[in-house]
This record gives sequence, C-alpha cells and structure tokens, in this order.
Amino acid sequence: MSDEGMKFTNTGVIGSGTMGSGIAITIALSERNVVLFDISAEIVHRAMERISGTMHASKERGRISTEQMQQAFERITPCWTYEDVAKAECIIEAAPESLELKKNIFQNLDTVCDRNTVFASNTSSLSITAIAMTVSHPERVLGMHFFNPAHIMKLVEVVQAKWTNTTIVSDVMTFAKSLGKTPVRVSDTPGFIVNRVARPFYNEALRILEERITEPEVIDRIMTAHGFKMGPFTLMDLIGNDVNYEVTKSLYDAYHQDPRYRPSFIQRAMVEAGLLGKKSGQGFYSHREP
Amino acid sequence: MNLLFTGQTAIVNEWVAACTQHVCYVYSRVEKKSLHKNAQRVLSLDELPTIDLIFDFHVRVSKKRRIILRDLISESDPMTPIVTNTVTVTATELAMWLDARDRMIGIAALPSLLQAGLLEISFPHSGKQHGRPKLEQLVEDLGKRCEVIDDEVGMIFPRIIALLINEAVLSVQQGVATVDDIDTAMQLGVNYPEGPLAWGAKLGWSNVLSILQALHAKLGDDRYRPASLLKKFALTQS
Repeated sequence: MSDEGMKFTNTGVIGSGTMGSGIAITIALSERNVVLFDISAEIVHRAMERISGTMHASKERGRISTEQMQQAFERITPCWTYEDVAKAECIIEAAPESLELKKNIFQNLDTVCDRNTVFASNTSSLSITAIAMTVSHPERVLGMHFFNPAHIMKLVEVVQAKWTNTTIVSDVMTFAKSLGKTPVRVSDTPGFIVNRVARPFYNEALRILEERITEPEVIDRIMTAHGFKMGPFTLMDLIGNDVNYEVTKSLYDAYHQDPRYRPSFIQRAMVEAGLLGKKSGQGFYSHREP
Repeated sequence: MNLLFTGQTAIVNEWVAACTQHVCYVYSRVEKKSLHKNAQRVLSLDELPTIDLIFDFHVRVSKKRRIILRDLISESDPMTPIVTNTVTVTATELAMWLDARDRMIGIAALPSLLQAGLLEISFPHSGKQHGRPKLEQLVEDLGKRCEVIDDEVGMIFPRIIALLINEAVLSVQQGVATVDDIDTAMQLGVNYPEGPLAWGAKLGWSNVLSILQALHAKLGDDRYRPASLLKKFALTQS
C-alpha cells in the first residue's frame, strides 16, 4: 500500500459509546492501530465486549473473515488516561454532544499530544470552529462526522472549519477513503449536509399533519411509493422523536429561528408525552407486541 | 376510454405513453413531433368525440390555463370529469372559479410522478365527486391506485420534495458543499433514492420554483421562500 493510503497508522478514538466503538472497528479493519479511550477501565472494557460481539456478527454475516476479525480486534487497545492516546497521529472524538465536554477533551489532548496530531470531532451539531479555538494550532482541527452504524454506513462528512489547513482536510479525505468510506467535504455550518437538508422530510410531513390534510400512514405510503425506503413518520419512530426533535431544535436555534427550520408542536407534544417511537413502544405508530 | 390531455408537454407525454389501451387526444399548440406518437393532437375542441376524462396538466395558473379551462368547461359534456393539476392551486379554488365543483378532481402531476404505484388525488371542498369512479377505473387500468387526500396546494409528495430540493439548493448557494457532494451525502447518509439536486432537474426547476412560490403565496409562511439560486436554475436550465 502507498504511503498516502496508510496515513495515520496510529490513531485514537475518544468515547467508547455506539459511535466511538463503530469508528474504532472501522479503523482497526483497515489494518491500523486504534487506542480506544473512555473515562474508566470498566466502561471501556464493557465497550470492548460489545465490539467483540459486533465483530463476531459481521463475521457471521460474511462481511469479514475470522482472521480479519481476530487481527482487527487485537489492534484495538483500551485505555483510560489521555497519556495513552498521546502517540496517535489522528484522534477522533466521539463523546456526547456537549460543547463544554468536547472542549475539555480537546484541551486535555492538547497538553499530551504533538502539535501536528490531527484532532477530528464526530460532532453532528456543534461548531467545529468553536471546538478548534480551544486548542493550540486550531488549523489541525476538523470534523469527521460518521453515520450510525459507523462500521457499515459509507458516508463521512469531513468538515472544514474556518482555520482548518486544507492539506489536512485532503489527508483526512484520503484516510476516510482508505477506510472504505465515501467522504464529502463540507464547510462548518449547522447540520452540515445531511442533518440540515433532511429537515424538510420530517418538518414538512409534520406540517401537513398539523394541517390535518391526511394521516401519517398515508404520507408514509406516498413517500415510499416515490422511492424512499421509509416514510417520515416510520423513520421518526425508528430514530426516536426525542432525538429528531433535538436535532430540529438545535438547527432552529443555530439559524436564529429562521422559519424554514421551525419545529412542530405535534412533535414537541409527543416528546413531552413520552411517545418516542419504537424505543418507548408508541410513537406515531404502535410498536407493542400484539 | 376517450381521454383528453392538455398542459405541460412532458407530463402529457408520460400519460399518453402509459394510456396505450385508450384513445388519447391532446389539446395543444406544440408541434406534433414534440408529442408522443400515440397522441392525436387537436387544435380545436370542436374536433372531439365524447370524452370520458379530461386531464389538465398545466403546472402554474397562467392566463393561458384559465382560458383553456374555461373553454374545456363550456365545450364538454357537464358530466365529464376534469382532472386538474393541484401542485400550485387547490381544486376548490379552480372549481369555484369555473363553477364546476362536482366534476373537478385534483391530482399531483409533475414529470416522472406517473412512475409511482400510487397517484395523489383530491376533491374540491363540498363537491360531489362525480368523476371519482371513472378516474379510479383508469388508474386501475394503469396498474396503479389512487390515494385520496384533502385538497391543498402542493399535495403531499410535490410539497415535501420541493422543500427538500430548496434546502439542498440553499446549501449549495451558501457554500456548504458542492452539488455532487450534497447528492452523494443524501443518498449514502439517509438512503434517499436520488440526490435532491438531480431530483430537481428531473422534476424541472421551473416546476419546483412554481410549487414553492405557490406555497409561499397561498400559505403565507416564509419557510417556503425559494432560494435565489433556485430561481437562477429555473431561468437558465430547462
């Protein structure tokens, strides 16, 4: 493999939740070393068990061989101190969506890492520029927004912040391609591409429902008839109305209450009533066992 | 059945191509070679036999459309249903203007919409829906079914897709990403069957703009305001 393809042979992932674990699996399967960090040994070892389960499932489905699975698993090293991530050339942060938390993480990384270490955040809703200004050399900070499940979904939004060095952006694009992903270059704007452009799929469907023009199942039927895999209400129930509502609110605030992004009172009422969708047994549809 | 079509040529041609079992008249001044080979072009409504269903596939409500609809009403049998495109106007508004509440049916019609397995239809408020059985019969003959929704501008799919496309165009305009990257992202990130920018070109940029302008004017909400780049697409691309 060329030098270009094997950029970032040593990487780090901060946060061993669903996204962090998925990202670690993806990187390990590309024959790179990954140090997976979380705040305690207990948490990260539990994540390693889940990662093992996920990789076994991939093997059962024929996505990877036994040998690939074993070798990749051995490339993931759990850790719980920042010093253990210090040698990584590229670190991807996948912690919960809190600007304060992310700033704190990157400040800690800044004290132990080399000035050339690339810092990438998997944030879906926060400003990369705001995160970047926390560290020395903000030009090495950018976004790498993966999609759930990270080890399967091909898209990565590579987010260029105000001061991000364009060579680093290119390097990260190449890195993403070597993971088998399709990266797209995005400027640092609320929602990037997908979360922003997808808003009307949900919001306009909700607006139509507010106007009582028709029922959720009819809207879903019409949209699937035109090629969408799932209609908006089925999808909102699957994602969770609380999650979807938070993303919508976040964009509405980020764009200073532009009416384009106005949330729906129907969705707010459903979240307040606990009608979250599949995870609570009831959303726009019932998900309870008969 | 004897069917009569008028309106946007691209939409008319798709329907004529699909209705091969029926006799298709097209009331239009475009050159015959622009029409599907199965179309029988008529320049005057006097030339027509008894028609079973009339389809008005204009997209905007122009002066030309109003004149044609007035002529269709006066020259046709009062019991002949008129299926009219409601992507930019309600069936109720047209029906009341034409005093034809019982014979008008609304339909969502744009290039490529006929490929779907179902067609959105609506009826004017408090109309008697006289034409419903005949239209449903034709749609069944085409191997599809009708989905009845309440009468509103934009119907369901055209309204949602126009907003999606508008947001994608706005993202290009604001330098968020390139056209190709936005289309790629929406297909790979959320499994859309097509990228929104490609979809806008397929539906016709002027059509998408017309839908947004109608929603903006009729519903009075700034959420529908078209991106200025979309207006330029409509002016410079077919």
